[in-house]
Amino acid sequence: MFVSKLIRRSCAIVGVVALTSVAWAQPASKDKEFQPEVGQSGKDVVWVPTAQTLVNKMLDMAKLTPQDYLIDLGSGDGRTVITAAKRGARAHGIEYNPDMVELSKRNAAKEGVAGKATFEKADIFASDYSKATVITLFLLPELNVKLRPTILDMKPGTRIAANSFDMGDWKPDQTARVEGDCTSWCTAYLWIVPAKVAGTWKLPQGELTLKQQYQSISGALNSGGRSTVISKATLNGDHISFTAGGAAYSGRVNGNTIEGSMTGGGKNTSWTATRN
Amino acid sequence: MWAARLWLCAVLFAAASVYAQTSPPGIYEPEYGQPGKDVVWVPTPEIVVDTMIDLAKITASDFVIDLGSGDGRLVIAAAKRGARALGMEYDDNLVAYSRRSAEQQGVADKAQFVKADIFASDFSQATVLTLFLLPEMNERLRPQFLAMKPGTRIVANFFGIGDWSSDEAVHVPDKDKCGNYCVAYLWIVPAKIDGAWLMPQGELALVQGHQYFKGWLFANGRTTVVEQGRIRGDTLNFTVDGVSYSGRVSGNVIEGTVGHEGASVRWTATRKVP
Repeated sequence: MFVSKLIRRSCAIVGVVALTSVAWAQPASKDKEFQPEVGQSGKDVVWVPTAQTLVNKMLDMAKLTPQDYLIDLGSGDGRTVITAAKRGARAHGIEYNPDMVELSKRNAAKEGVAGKATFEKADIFASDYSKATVITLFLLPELNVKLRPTILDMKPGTRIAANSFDMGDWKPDQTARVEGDCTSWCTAYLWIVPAKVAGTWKLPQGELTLKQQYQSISGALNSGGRSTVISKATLNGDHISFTAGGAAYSGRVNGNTIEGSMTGGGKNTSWTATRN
Repeated sequence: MWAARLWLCAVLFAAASVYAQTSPPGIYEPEYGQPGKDVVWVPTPEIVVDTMIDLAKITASDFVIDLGSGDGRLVIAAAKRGARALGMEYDDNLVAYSRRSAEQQGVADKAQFVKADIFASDFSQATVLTLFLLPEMNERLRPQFLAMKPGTRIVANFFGIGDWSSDEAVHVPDKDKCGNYCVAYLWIVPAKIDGAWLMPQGELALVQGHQYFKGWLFANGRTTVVEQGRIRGDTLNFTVDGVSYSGRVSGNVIEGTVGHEGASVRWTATRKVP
């Protein structure tokens, strides 16, 4: 067991198998209010709280605003959800341990954000979190990778902020490290769900073929019988940009349509593409 | 060498008459139970002093700091074992008294004393810390203890350090020599290994609770549980899939050996820092 201060100070991991020989976790006594203990076994993880400085950093990286709906996968003692609610966002925690859920609800009430911060006892692998605009998590790598297909199907532009563990070969868009009250588990990663742009797109001036590996894109523009490889290609959520044949294209992807503007030869014109 | 005001009030009056000795006029003698800054003075029984020194395996190469050194007995005893020893004590009279004692016992060069508030002092250079403080004081000092160099030994008389379980405890059986304070505890400052580590074959996640840890190894798309994780100073041991790993932690690197098919193979891990 760690110091209770540490526990209060710091939300969520880690693990894959519930361990039984926990030298430092002690059973909570029945007559006292439930107190979580760092290292306590959860469903797929043990609980390690995220330091408050890292919670703040994760929300900063996600550029959380009051218009957002945040869902924390494995919400632990609720600190991330409560912090998000205090920033004005609607926030929801999914947590498998019912004691942690109750504790989180009490904490949210104490902090005066019970109206915005909600919690439910559920298995994240059997939950629908597709309505979130921001997802936060502190899970083990394997669990992140298991969640990845579902996350990649979320609305383009959805931000995913994770503590310490990445998403396999889906490289983070941003990485940051905090110090201060954080002594371990101090790395935050941010991913932005990319629009699905792979395929062949029809433009008035020709055909655009795009290949995609998460947010990395490459391709070629076929126009007037000439094929030009696109360069400076970026994909940030639903925002795509690239350069082809001396013209800079930018646009928004909406399903099978891209609409945007292009600058080339001193002119600024709009362009539209539709996927075959 | 300090203990609790509240805890001891009852026994003090009885004990004081035994401990208070008639001294020549003008020569200061500390009295059992005399008030101090955060505690009252209760000397550690000599037999427990010896037990603490043995438990910490104090040698001539150690630098011992006693937090709340009282009449100096532990510092002097450590100096007699050849160690450099420093007593931090808030009471001026006790400091002066300790210096005289060290002089008389011929260890003034090795046994030094400083008037200091232990909560405002830097004791980070010690290789051994000794203390007889109240539990809440131990608890308050815990972050500083844990920040000391891995392998630093901390020995305490009677009171523990919150939920940080001791690595060893010795019960002195001689009740008539140790009175009410017959237990000595030893803690060895563990290296900080909590966090994510990169290994050639994958990633290692360790969750530390003082000298114990649990964790997971992610390699080849598979997760295996780290079992029997134990740290003693800068040395750690664990098993994965029944294979034993041992290693030495040095800052952001762990280097060690792993038993593999009867042979010993080297392994390394580096802390995952972006």
